[in-house]
Amino acid sequence: MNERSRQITSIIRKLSLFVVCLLILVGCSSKTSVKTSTLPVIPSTAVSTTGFNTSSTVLEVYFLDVGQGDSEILRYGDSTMLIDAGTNQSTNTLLTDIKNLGITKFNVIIATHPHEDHIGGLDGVINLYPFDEIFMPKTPQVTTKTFQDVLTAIKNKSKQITSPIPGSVLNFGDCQCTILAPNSQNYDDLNNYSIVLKLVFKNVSFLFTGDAQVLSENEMLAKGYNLKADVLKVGHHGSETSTSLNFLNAVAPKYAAIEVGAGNDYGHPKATTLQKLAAANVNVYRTDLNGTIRMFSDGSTIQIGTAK
Amino acid sequence: MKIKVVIDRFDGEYAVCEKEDRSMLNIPRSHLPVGVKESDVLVIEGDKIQIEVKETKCKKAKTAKITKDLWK
Repeated sequence: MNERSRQITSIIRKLSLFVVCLLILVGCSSKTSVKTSTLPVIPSTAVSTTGFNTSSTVLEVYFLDVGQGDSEILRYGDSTMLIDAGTNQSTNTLLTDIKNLGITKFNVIIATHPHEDHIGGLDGVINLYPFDEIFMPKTPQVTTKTFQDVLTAIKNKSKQITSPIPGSVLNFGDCQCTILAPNSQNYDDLNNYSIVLKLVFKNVSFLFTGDAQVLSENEMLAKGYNLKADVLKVGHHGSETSTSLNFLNAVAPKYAAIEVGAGNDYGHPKATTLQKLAAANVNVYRTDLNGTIRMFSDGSTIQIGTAK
Repeated sequence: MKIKVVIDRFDGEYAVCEKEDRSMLNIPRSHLPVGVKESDVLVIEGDKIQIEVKETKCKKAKTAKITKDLWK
């Protein structure tokens, strides 16, 4: 072996040692947060074991940057779920993200409630992609064209809508998804019809809240649901009408994702909400500051990446 | 010029309204008639904004027609 080969071998050994040390470090910490702009945030195929010291399937959760609206995509192996579809204006962004993720169908679609900032791109998605099941709350007659177009798109696919029943469980890969709200039949504000979904994957859990407000949060607390979750999708873009202290204490998240548009007209997220999250030592990610947020989990650790 | 919009939601100081082409328009709540609700149809003419009760009913009926048997 000449001198150059010896040098290369030595470098490779040192690098291998570094990688092993890194894997041990990652394996030792219960939760890992990696904020990076170098990795592509949206991978074109399902993530296998990248970065995890495991051979099991990885759960992928994306909080998409759809401006002042909500849209989350979940993938576990071949299983895919869409929770909300952003605004009318962000439809093309959403469709591009879905395409870039390499998704060809959705097993589950959840439209948390029929406001435009949550269902804006839904007719576009339904017209382009097959789906197995769609969940929507039964609400009073909403008159927007946005909503009527979504209904027509569902009808054109000869599909029917499933009403959310609190306590019911839907299967999503090896994840257990439980519907926790809405718990009443009638509300004054459409936000409170929001479907709230808790996902548990082994030792890791997520709570998706739509725009559920304090009234719905109190109903979930009164029902005695286990609200504890590692990740909280903060209700109603960080508005002061959601994330009551009692609710936040019950969820006790380590991480929070706020889907919100930069410089929006509504003052979201509200300082009071951010202060509550800060006081509870929650690591907050925001789509207005971080762009699309992705969280990968092997069921024991969470890796977080952001677009910016 | 008349603009017809539907109130999609209330957020902060605004009613977020949908125009007929599905583009959105923020109208300060203080400019709205008293008692307006989500899904009400409004007609804006200059600085005058009125609730179109008949049109609201009409749109509700349309939604009801589409939703018939759509939920399991």
